[in-house]
Amino acid sequence: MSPPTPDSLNGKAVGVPLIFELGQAGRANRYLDEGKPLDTFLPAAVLREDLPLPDNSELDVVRHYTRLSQRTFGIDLGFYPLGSCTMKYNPRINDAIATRREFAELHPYTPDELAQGALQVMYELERSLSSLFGMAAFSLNPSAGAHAELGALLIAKKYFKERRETGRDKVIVPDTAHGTNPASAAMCGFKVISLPSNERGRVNVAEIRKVLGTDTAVCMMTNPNTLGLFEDEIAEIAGAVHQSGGLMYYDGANANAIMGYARPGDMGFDLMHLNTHKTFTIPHGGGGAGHGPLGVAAHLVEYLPTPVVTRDGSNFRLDFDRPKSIGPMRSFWSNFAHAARALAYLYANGEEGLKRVSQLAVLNANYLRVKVAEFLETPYAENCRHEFVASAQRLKKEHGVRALDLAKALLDYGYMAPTIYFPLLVPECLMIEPTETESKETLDAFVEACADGSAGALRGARHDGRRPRRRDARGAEPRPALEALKPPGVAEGASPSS
Amino acid sequence: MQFRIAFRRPAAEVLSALQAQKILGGLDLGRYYPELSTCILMTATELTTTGDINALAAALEEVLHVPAHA
Repeated sequence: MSPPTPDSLNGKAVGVPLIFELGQAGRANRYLDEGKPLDTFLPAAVLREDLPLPDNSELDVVRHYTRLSQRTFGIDLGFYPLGSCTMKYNPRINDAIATRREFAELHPYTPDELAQGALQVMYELERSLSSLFGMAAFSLNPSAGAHAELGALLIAKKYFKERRETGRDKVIVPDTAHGTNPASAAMCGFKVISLPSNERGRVNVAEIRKVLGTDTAVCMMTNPNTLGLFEDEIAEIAGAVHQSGGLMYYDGANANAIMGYARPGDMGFDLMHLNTHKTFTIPHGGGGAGHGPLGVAAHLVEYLPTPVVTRDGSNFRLDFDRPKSIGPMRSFWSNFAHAARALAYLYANGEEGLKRVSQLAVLNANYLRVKVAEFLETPYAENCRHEFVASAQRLKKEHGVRALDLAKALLDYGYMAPTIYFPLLVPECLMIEPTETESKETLDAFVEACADGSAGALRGARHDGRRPRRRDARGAEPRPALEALKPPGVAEGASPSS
Repeated sequence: MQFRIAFRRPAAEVLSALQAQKILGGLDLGRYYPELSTCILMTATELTTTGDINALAAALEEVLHVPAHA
């Protein structure tokens, strides 16, 4: 892919100016009848004459925002191998279904009997996920993975409280876990015990036995873990945790690797979440709404957040009357449009199709792993699952080129950079997840860019040599003077709270 | 803009009668506050037309003239 053309203002390459820096007073087009004066609608006291709005022609506004949209990178523009984020193609048919008027215009407070179709979507998604991942039931309530982690830990807390086991205040988290795991545990009031992985990048059952006890509440694991490796002692680990009286939590961020091949319920997990926005093709990555269904084994079903969709014959309803529930985790019931997208994807693929998804995700990751190993170290040289980690440690030692430099070089080539410096146990780490929806041609082109980028990064310049790369020091971002936007009466350098 | 209307009969009954006339009349507050089980929370927005409001008023009039169940 060729690099984007630098944006220019008056022939000078400056990046994209702010809308406030464009235009002139009185330039705005006045196509519309301004109608009645504003003070016929609003009290005169709230009308402002001095609001510093930009004054641009309609054409300038269209060009400005079109240009910004062109500078926004996403999976629809190029390869996005961001490890653990599962940036795969989001089929457009999902959107066509989720945005049908019958769904999009439905108010969450619509009486159950008038919302049967939507409730059926939620019910069927819940049943499908339970079957695919081996859990007794799911709640579609949480809005994202970390939100579901918090919900799961609140369930664990309530479960132990009811069993009068309040001394269980420790959560065990391996060093190959996602950063949200210890954060959720701490937020829920648990003490976090970090567990080192072994030289094979996995957790040993012998190691975990050393920290288990009557104070163990939950062991949070990701399988395959963030190194892309399957925890092969998982059944023994779950057995040991259960023997100590603790619960097992499955972080489903990496579920794209296992669909149809392994089920967390069968591995011995009591609680889990899914990131349907990752595994089940919902656009994500811009901070938008997520969807984090929370699954539980049979002994924890009554603690699920409310409401739960239930079925009585051919009628579906929202059940709020669940005395042991931890309560709702958000307003309304779910990010419903995402539930519709996820179900559309599930039904479009079917059981065999989902198996093939995981198969191809693993195949693509291994293809890339072997190719990348020609010029980067791959510290765990064995078959990976859906992702793998490489390291720029040798490049750094021999040439002073860090993972960060290589990542920036890849941006210059028009690729999203892999996840870097995570997991923390691999120095100069690049975590790469290609997903099943990329072609061999794309993977080959990416490998070529990685190889070129390693060399280009040695020069510390954009690979095309057109302009030096901006320093990565803090404060290197552009600082346009926005005099017009300063609130009146605020002195230069004054603290906003003073 | 939203406001509460109190009735002399359960809100659920009023809402159900309105529903039979194809009107979703608002939120039964008894669902969240049992002591407000005769109250409905209604909302109007800038998209609510005079026609909508008149139709609701006429339907309510009809609903409320039906004797309440014992």
